[in-house]
Amino acid sequence: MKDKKLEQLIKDSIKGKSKAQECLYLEYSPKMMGVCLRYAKSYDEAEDILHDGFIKIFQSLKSFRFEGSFEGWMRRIIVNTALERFRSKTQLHPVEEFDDIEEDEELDVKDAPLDVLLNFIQDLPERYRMVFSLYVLDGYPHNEIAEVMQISVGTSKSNLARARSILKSKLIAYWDDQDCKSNLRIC
Amino acid sequence: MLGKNGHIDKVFSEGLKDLSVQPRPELWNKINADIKQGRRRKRAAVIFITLAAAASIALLFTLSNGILFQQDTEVKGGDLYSEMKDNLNLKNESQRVEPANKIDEQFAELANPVINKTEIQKNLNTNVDRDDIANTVEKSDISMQMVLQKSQIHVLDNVELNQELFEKNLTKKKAPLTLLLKDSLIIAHNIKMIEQFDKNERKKKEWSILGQISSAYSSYTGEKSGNNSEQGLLSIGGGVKLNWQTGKKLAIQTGIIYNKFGQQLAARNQVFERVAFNSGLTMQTDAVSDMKTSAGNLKKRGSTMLTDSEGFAATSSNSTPDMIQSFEAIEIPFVLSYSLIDKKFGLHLNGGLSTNLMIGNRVYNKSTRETIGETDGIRTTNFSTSFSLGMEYRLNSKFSLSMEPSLKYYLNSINKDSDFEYKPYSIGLSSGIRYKF
Repeated sequence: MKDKKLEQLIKDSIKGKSKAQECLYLEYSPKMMGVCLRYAKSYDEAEDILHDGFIKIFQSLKSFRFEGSFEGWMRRIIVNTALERFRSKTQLHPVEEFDDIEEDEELDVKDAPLDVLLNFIQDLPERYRMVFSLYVLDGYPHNEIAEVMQISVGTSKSNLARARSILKSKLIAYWDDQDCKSNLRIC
Repeated sequence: MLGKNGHIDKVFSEGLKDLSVQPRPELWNKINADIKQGRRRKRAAVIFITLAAAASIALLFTLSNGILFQQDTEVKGGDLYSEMKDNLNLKNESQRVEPANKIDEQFAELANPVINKTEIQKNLNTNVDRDDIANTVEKSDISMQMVLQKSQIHVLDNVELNQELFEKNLTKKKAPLTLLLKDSLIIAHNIKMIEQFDKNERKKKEWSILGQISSAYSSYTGEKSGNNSEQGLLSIGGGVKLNWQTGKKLAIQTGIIYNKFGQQLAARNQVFERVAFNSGLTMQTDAVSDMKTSAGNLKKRGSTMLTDSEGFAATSSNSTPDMIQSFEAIEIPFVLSYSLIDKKFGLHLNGGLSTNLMIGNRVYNKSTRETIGETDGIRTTNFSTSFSLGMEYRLNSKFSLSMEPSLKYYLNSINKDSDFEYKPYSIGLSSGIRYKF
């Protein structure tokens, strides 16, 4: 969308014009839904986050200074909404840190469909899913993750390592399964 | 899609970073309803605070005016005056303005000569938009399938998504070109609609007429003359204003407004008793000076000056010393109005100058309404300034209800005689209805 049109749309939305708000929603909701799905356990929960997130977006549009990416600004609010939701329903857990942190382990990767990848992420335990999404998909550093999730940096790192480990084993299993199926077809 | 020996993070980040999934269409209705609900609550709070503030200011003003007025009427060695009963009863009108139910932009009413009306409605209807998108997807089914095959995107049953939407929208970033193009077209179209709608709305709002009735408390500033007691007057007025919206925020108002102002007069006990005594014994009253008020000398009908004894003798029949000294004027205002809020609930700051043509000048008995005389030396044309806070509640595109607390102050003394410095002011509350052409 052109900057001027977007600016006008934002200004009209600030004034409370429903149609402008709807235009903004229609333009950005699919991408934001994509973000929500990565932080949620299910589609329904993702829609709840999207709902709360968009209400916050419209309420705080006045604070957008037209500097930087509007999509990035929206994305940040959606992620914060997901985090608030996580914080509100998560009890404090004892600090768990793992020594067997494997970093930068290389993998013989193959293709995997998006919905399979999404399903693997959604099946992760909640804290692992949050840390993995924040670190890998949204580029938050560990110290920031520790702050927003109210955990220690060590816990953030160990949660990430656990998430990677689970995802890796699931992916390997999936690829093995696919290989078996294709071998059977050849036979 | 991926090179060999990549990191696990890469598999997920490349796949899911730009994931785009269409949420269920009904979600927007829910978000929209919740936004409006929030806005309603906020607006109700703003209205409450504004009304509370306005009421407090009016009350404060009335109370301080009352105190000042009491001081004005006090005469040194004041044992001669009787304690006057406070007739002032300034009503605090309150009107509960219902918060806006909804701000619907009424796009269906667009009469756009450039853009096809059917097309506008079609594109502005959300459901139709989505159907349209779905239709486009169906039409481009073949190309879509090619894209899907090329990107090797599969849809599995185990994902809890709306199957149809998922199939159509869970795509990689380069896949849904047709969808994005269609979306962009629809959005561009909608923006055009919004601009057009704004233009039409502005045109519509250019002229309006406002009918108002007002109740006002009037008093005066200036030097006190005479030794009788004076109190402010509560009166009713009203008229019609024509409003011309010159811009988005600014409007000019003019019109014809009838208003009445003046004061209540009461004599010292001593004077009244003396006249009553004289009447009873048919004795001649002592010669007393002309009856003087702060607004001017009172004169009897037929041009002879009224004396204090005559004035109050005329009122003594009903055992009440009260007289009303009233002035009636036709006001032609020139007011600038600045809009602070222009939504379902509107708030305007108004200020301006008025020419006041005197059409009535009368002194009468408060109880019997019998005319005693008039005030001498009153100017026929006077000038005043006014300030008001207009609050409006839009009923529909044509009609609005209005409520307007106001303050009006005469810039000149209304008496030509330099011995009198009588500048009336009034605090009022107008309510009325606005009709937009």
